[in-house]
Amino acid sequence: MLPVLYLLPLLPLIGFALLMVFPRLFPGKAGGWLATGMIGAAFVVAVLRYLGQGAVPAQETLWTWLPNMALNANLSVGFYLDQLSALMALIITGIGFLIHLYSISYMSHDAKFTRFFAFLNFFVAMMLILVLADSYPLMFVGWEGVGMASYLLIGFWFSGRGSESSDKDIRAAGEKEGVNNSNAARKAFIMNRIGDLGFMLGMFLLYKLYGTLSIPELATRVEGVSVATAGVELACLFLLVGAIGKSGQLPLTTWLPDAMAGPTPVSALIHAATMVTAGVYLITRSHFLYELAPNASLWVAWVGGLTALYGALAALNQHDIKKILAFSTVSQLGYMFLAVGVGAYSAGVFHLLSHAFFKALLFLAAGAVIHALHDEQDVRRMGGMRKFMPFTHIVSGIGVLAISGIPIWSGFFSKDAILAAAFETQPVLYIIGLIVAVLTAFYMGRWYFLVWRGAYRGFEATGVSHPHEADTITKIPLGILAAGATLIGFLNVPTFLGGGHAFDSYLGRAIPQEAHEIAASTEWLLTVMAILAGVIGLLWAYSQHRAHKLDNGPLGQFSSSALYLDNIYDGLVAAPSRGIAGALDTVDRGTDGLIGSISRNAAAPGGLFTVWQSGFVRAYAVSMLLGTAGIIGYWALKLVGSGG
Amino acid sequence: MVPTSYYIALSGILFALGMIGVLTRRTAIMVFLSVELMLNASNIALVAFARSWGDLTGQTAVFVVMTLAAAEVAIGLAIIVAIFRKRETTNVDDLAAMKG
Amino acid sequence: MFDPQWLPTIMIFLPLLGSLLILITPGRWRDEVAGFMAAVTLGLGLMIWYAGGSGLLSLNWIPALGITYSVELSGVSLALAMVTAFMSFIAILYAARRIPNPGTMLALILAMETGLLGIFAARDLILFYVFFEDALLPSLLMLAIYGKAHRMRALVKFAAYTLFGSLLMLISIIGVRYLGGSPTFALVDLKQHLVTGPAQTWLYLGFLTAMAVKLPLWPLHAWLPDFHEQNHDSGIPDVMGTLYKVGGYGLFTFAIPLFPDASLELRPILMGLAAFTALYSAWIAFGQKDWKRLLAYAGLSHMGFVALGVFSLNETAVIGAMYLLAFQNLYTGALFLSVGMVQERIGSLDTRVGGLMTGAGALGGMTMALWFASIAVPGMAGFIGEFSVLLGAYQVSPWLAFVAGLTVIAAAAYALTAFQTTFWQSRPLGGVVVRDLVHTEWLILGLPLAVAIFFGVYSAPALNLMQPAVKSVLAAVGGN
Repeated sequence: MLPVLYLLPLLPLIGFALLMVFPRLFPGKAGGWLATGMIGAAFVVAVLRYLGQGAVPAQETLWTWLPNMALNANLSVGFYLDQLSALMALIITGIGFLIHLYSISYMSHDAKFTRFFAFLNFFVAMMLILVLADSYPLMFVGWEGVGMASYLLIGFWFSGRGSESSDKDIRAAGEKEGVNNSNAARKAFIMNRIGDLGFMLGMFLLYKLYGTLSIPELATRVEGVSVATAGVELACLFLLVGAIGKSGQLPLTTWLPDAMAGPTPVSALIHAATMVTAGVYLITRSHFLYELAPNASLWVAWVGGLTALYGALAALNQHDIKKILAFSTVSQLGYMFLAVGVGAYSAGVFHLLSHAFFKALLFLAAGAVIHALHDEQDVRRMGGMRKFMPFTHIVSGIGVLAISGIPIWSGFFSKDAILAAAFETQPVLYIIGLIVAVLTAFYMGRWYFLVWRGAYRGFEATGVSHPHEADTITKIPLGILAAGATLIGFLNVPTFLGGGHAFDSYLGRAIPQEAHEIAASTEWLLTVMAILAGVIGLLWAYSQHRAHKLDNGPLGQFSSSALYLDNIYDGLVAAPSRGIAGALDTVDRGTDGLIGSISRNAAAPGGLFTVWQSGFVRAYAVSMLLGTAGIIGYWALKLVGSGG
Repeated sequence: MVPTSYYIALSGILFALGMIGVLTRRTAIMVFLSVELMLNASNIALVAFARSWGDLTGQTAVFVVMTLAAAEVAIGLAIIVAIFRKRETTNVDDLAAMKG
Repeated sequence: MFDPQWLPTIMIFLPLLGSLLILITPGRWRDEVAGFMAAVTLGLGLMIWYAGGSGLLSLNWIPALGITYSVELSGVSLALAMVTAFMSFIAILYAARRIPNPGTMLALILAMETGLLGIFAARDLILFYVFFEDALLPSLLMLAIYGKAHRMRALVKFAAYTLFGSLLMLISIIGVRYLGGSPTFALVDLKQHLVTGPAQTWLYLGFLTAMAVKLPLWPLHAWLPDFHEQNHDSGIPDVMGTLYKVGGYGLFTFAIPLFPDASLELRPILMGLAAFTALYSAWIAFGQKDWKRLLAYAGLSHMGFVALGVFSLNETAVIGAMYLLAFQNLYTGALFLSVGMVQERIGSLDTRVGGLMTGAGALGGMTMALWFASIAVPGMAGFIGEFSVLLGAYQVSPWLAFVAGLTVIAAAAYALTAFQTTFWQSRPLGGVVVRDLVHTEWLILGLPLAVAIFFGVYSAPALNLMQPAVKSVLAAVGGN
């Protein structure tokens, strides 16, 4: 007997409710353990459901929810488990569990420890709803739910950590941090909302075309009902806007680097491993639509390619240990979009899987370093950390090798598959992908050398003379993730390397696969090119390291201010809309004033009558007399006139 | 028998006297008295017409007016007393608070 | 059991009775009497719901003029009546706690509840008009007695707009009966004797003006921000004022069945006006620095959605509009109350205080959750409404749905900005450390939030009420 699907989101949701409503029941670290336990239980459910998968996708419907949005019926809340969602559920609960565990140590000194875990649990619940939803609106629930969780967690330190301090300087710094954190949270939510509008419009159009928003129903309707291609293309473009917003792709990318204002486990879980990949999931889930919309797919691929390039360029000269990783996430997500855009859904999802491992690993390692250096995040004030934190150093090295695409680590297999798919269909995108691979290896090499190698430079800034190694609770997730980042690649060894495409054929049962037509010799060539790109990038970083020129990466200000995208948006969108809001307010009060003056003018003749109301009783008596006299006179005249 | 026109003339004179009183006197009591005079003038006219037509409707109306007048005296005098207590005047020209 | 036909009548007049009782109750029992009456009214609503609607009760009232006393609570009207009873109860809870010597306020709340329930139950146009005006008086009195410095200006404006609209409505009500030749003003009779041709359009415009004032719809909305800004700081009159935004309901129950051709004819213009109202007011809200004005514009923006849904005449959109109309009362009302609590603590309604959440975590958390409900985050009742409205409107006019959809972004901007600058960021130097929620305040914010979440997740109870009602009303229009 398999556990029911709704248990997956329900378990973390119970954790969230308990921790929010009865925080006092969980003193000390009990809340953290409860939350971790809930995710662990959800992971067990996910594993059981994964093992018990039948040939047909499971669909479990709960209750009616939205009016008229299924085919001639009301839409129900329902969960859907096929190979794709089973895999996503495993990633979310598995990596989520590890990051929860890590947070118990990482957040242990925070005053709002219990609330942090409540929010994390809420996030996992929403993410599970997102991937298990059997209809677009339900997916949208998770979609906005994770946005909400992301908002809460980016703004977790909303008032700044030192703002209640009595020391003036610490207080001022805390206030500034509070404003920055709050702004980052708000920016993330609003930019996500722009994407959400696209998602919503996509749903509206799909409903108009097919009359249902249930995904399985849509999948069958798409085959049966023929509609104008333009309509499907437009719907796919709308969905793409949604995916862009959630996954931080161009042009809605600038919130993701700012989101690093949240605690590091949040960056690892939400802004690297799971939430930001929701866009990739959405497009993969809607593959049956994108297959009918070649132009929209091409757009997806180009958005991905350009974002990959953008993220890599912006990462070259960052100085914040987390910002480098954030831009790297942007860039890697671009790879995934590129893959799903050219129809290589399996390659995209595989990269999602391996990226979840190595990026979570890198973030958690960065968090350990930040902790050891008492919240110092500037890589220029680190260096030589391998002496102090040998274990973290090794796992970070594994992460860097994985993301740089060095064989045998997972990034090599997944990135190679994407590049091969791009080579087949869009050679220009392939070239971009290859350049990005070189840049990726370089900036990750720079990250590695600045943090771990060379001499320790942090003493003056941080006052920490001897950073301590991470504790055991921190090491366990790091170790497991490092093992994953190393071994996950072997799930999908391509044929020409003697493998069986195990992952592709598993996912292929849910998402149809494109046939591989590349000759083995070409494949070899591509693989060698990919490896070369990684090696060149790392060597470049190493040579710069030897020359002590890594502090400032290439491209200077252009890169460190993220290609000025933020400034452009602030000038073009944010400032004008604030201005318009002010102007409209004036207009609104003005409209009011206009109507007011019309009414005053209309009321003016009424003033004449008030003269009559003199307040003198005797004047009223005269009026009455005159009035009576007038009436009598009228009748008298009439009587006389008629000769009566 | 006295002709109806005499009664009507009497009623008209009384009514005119009352009206002049209402218009010229400034003391609320006097205004009030004059109003009563006008009411009674109309009563005379009503009774006279009733007799002239041989119809009791006019007399009925007189009773209505008398009852009304009694009520008016009760309430009106009370109001005047209340006003006097508050404002220490019964001059109607001073009581112009209802000016629009 | 008792014949459910009579239940609406009891439900309508029970609060009025309570309001009169309060006048003769000794001061220390007033809270309890008011709370009890409101709770019983809510209980009656539940009874009607349990009985599956009340059925129509129709009596002659003024036979000479063809005016009947026809009341019915079922479908959409029942849902709205229950929300009204619920929020009145919450308002009474808070008034008893917040306002010193609250007798007058409690009596006014109950009196207003009668008017509102009457509006929803009335199935006769004149009766509707009577209750419509009846609800106005307590709200004017609340403003006059408890309002702030510039209340008279706001009051005159509010009264002038409403009465002007009502006058046009009265004229078209009379016109509908005499031009159509119906024997009475009862809705059932009027539906049998529809006015046709251009006359219908003119009568619709008259009716529409009154409803547009009450919706409110741009450009007849100017009374709303002043009304809320000048009302008592506690936000209790604002809750009642929010409940009084019955324009969407009036259009749905009376205008669509009585003016089907005109509704279809004017649909594009009215939808455009509604979409514009939604976006325009959301954008203005973004620039507000007074919480009350901000919430007024936010509510106005919701009403733009309601109007968009009703005017679109699309089944899904109309269901969404009614859903939104009913449930926005919960979170908009509760937000007004939470702002009242903030004012009680810091003595200001400014949106740029900062750092309140460090002291008042629960107040901040509840306010944030209510804001999320208000900006239609899925999982809350507002989402079902707004999503259905937009989806339905898109089927009729994609571009207007897009314009209204932009509101979704603007809403996030104004809500989060105001929240951030009040509750987040750091406490200004020397600012008071605010007290967190105490006693009934938990219930006052928690209950509406819980209901909003419940109906956002499990919509079937409300949907089962509304869907058949909307279907039958739209059947009259025929089109889609």
